[in-house]
Amino acid sequence: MPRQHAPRLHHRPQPYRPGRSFALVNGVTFGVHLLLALFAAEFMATRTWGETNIGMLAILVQGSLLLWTAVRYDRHADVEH
Amino acid sequence: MTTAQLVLAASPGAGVLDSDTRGMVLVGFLAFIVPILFICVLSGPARDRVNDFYTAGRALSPLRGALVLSGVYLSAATVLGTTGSVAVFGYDGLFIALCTVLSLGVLLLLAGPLRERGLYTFGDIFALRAPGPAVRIAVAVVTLSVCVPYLVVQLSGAGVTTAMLLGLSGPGPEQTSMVMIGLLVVCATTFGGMRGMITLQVLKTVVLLGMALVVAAVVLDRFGWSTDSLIQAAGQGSGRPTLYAQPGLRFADTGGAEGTLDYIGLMVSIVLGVACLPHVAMQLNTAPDAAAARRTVRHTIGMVGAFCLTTAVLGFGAAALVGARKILTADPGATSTLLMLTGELASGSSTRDAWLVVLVSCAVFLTTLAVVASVTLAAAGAVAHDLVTHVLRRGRTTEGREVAAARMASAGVGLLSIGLAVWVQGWNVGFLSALALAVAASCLLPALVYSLFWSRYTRAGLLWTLYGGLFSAIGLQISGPVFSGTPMALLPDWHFDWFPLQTVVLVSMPVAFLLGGLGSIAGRRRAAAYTEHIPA
Repeated sequence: MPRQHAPRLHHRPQPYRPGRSFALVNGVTFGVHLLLALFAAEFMATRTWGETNIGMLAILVQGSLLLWTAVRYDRHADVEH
Repeated sequence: MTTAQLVLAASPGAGVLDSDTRGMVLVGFLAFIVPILFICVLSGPARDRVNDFYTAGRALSPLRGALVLSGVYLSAATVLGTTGSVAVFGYDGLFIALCTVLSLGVLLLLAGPLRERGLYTFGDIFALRAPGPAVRIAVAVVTLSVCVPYLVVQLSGAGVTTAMLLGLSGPGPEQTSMVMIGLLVVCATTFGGMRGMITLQVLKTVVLLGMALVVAAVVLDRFGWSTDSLIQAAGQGSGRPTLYAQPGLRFADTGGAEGTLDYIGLMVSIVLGVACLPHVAMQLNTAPDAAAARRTVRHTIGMVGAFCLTTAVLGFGAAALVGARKILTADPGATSTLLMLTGELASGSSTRDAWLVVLVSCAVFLTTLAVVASVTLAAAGAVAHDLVTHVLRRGRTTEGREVAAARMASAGVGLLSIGLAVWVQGWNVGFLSALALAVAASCLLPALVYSLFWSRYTRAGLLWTLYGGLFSAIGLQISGPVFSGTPMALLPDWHFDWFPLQTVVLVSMPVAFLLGGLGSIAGRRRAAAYTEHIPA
């Protein structure tokens, strides 16, 4: 005898609070980074030490920022829920 | 020259690996890949439970889940394409690697709500907002529009690589290899389900990360562990030492406003598109709860970030040792960079050199297999769960019948993709990856953002978003220079390239958001007008 095994999906979801600061910090940083890459190429090519330049450092900083804010967001989201 | 030939041909000196080395590669390869596929099939679900087949019982710990998600996330296109981009475009390649990691930030934001609302497919999430067959059909169409092109690209690459490992080349052996590999993966998916997938992805991630670390160590060893020497040599090898470490090489040929918009569009489509690929987002359903899903993505950011760092070393190494000109001459898409670098590093005839080739070949091949399997499973879910169970059978079915439908759908989607991959063999199908990302970013992201975070989103808005985003992304991609009118296009002799940009997301995504908003407003007005005219 066929039966319906899946739960009925008829309730509307409650609005979910996104990690606004996580999105804002990373989004704004990415936007600024992208604009610098597009319109300040020579500044990004400025050497800091050895062959490393500001552009490469900016990429490392942006990646590290994502990791750090992700840890913070995850912990805060746990507390919130 | 095909990617397949490059591993063999990239070896300096004689130009090809000797027969002993090739034999060792083949034996090592078969001894490695075949048992993995068997393990994958054997670890499949013991009973026909839908929950088991699609989500492996939702019991994956965050660390193991991160290993699996990293495997799903790091496709062959990402692994090979990013290494090539770093080698050829320098800083711009590094930026692409950064965008690949940043996309996980988008997935982290979506992880909690996706896991809370997700059952098995995107259709389940959108059905919470608007139940009914129309939404299920629309979601299934979009999911298949993302998955099938992606599968064709991956299967084409897998066929070419396998032909190379067998020491063959030409259309016939490559097509035969595609069919053989495709059938193996279809069997693994059909019988293994998500449990088999998890085994495959964990092994793949471990092998891939191990390979990247070993090759990066060998590259750094060549340059006395000095990153300065490596970057300087990479600049020289690129042929453009002054421009290599600064932005702008990626779209230097396009130039002007179009180059700027293409640069922004490429980065935006990576950041917003990869996170919304169905096989990536649906992997979160294997986590026990929303907190575990978030933690899984958090760990994945660390793993993918570490991989992208090693990718930078590999790309610089390839530019320094192989040279950008040679890479682009062999393959204009630069996807063969890693294999060419391996051939260059394994220049001797020692056992260590041969094992380096075996390790890289297995990692690349395993990456392709794992991605094909996970995309097939996501597409099968859309067909079996959304179309068959909820549209054709109206939700009235048994667990056994739904699992049987899922297995048949896996086989069907796999066979369709194999057929398409064989049909387009020899064509430049690289644009299909871009198309899949564009459709994901233009349809699924707006629909998810509205569904999860906007309480006034309606069924009409959802349908307008999905179909509007789909048609605008595909229409603009077909009207662009990657499809016709340029030497690198799929149809170089045809000319309907009226849309000037190579990346379409900057237009198609706003269109989808706009249509979603307008559709919701129109839907609410229609509902209000209908309510007013109902007789008391």
